[in-house]
Amino acid sequence: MIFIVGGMGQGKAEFAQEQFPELKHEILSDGESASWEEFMGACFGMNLQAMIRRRLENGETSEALERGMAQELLKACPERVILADEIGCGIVPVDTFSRSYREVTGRICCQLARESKEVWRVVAGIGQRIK
Amino acid sequence: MIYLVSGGSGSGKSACAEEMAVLAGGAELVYIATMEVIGEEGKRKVCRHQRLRAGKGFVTVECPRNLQEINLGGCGEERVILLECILNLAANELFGEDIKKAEERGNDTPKGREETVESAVLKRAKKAAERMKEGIRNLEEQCRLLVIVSGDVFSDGVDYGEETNAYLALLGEMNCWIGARASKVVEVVCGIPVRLKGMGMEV
Repeated sequence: MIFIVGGMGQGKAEFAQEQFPELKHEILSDGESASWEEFMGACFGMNLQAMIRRRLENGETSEALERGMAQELLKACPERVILADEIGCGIVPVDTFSRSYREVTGRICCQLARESKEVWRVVAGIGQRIK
Repeated sequence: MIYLVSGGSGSGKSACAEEMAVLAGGAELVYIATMEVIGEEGKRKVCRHQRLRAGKGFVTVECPRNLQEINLGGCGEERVILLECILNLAANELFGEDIKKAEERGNDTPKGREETVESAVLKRAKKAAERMKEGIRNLEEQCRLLVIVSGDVFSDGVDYGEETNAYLALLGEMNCWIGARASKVVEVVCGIPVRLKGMGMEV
């Protein structure tokens, strides 16, 4: 798996398509709108954090997501490219849901990064390979 | 010698800092916990961190503020200290009840010249920074390696008002101060230590 992270609006999708031209032929699955099944099966997925947030909003627990989500993604399509927004670099929110969303997103990202053969971080459109 | 480990929420910075402390190979590992445990979530957080540390040989010292008062004894030549974390320490030093009370007791501002909330909090932040620096120097003198966990809480572009902005400024100042003194600085991204200062990618 190739995992690409960075803050919101930093040009991750553009960077991914430039760096991995084969992605231009892939359908981009968006965690903001896709169903979990669709996202899980897609070779090119963005907004993983939104998928996590939506599943939490639908009543799934952060513990369950932390246990299963990364594994399911890796199993369904080991050669995939996943993009995620980094969301943990602000003041810790007062609201319990937001806190737990940030934490579990961070942990799932750690799990995916551990299993990925490449990890890239994109800042201002520039990708830096950190693994 | 100081190593600084930073990163966002859930970035894996604690695990990375522990690894650095353990790999340093000191005969004595001391974990300084600065979090004041409040409520169920606080308890769960502490339990999670205790699980992560279990079996690694750390002796835990709880110290939510006033690190300058810690005396671990001995010469510290074989001691490695892990200080977790600056975010909690800064909050406790700035907003901690004892400190607020002490400030109130010592408040002898003449009537008609009452300070604004803003200058009061900035004054507290200045004192907190002095105490934190003294505390870190105190720990550094008592060990071979001091691994400090801090965090990145600066990148959400939200204006939180005077009190929190003072906290952010204090934390930013501390990160810079520690970073300048540290031989190694890493930012942890998705569990991966990204080197910002100091040679060697190994943790």
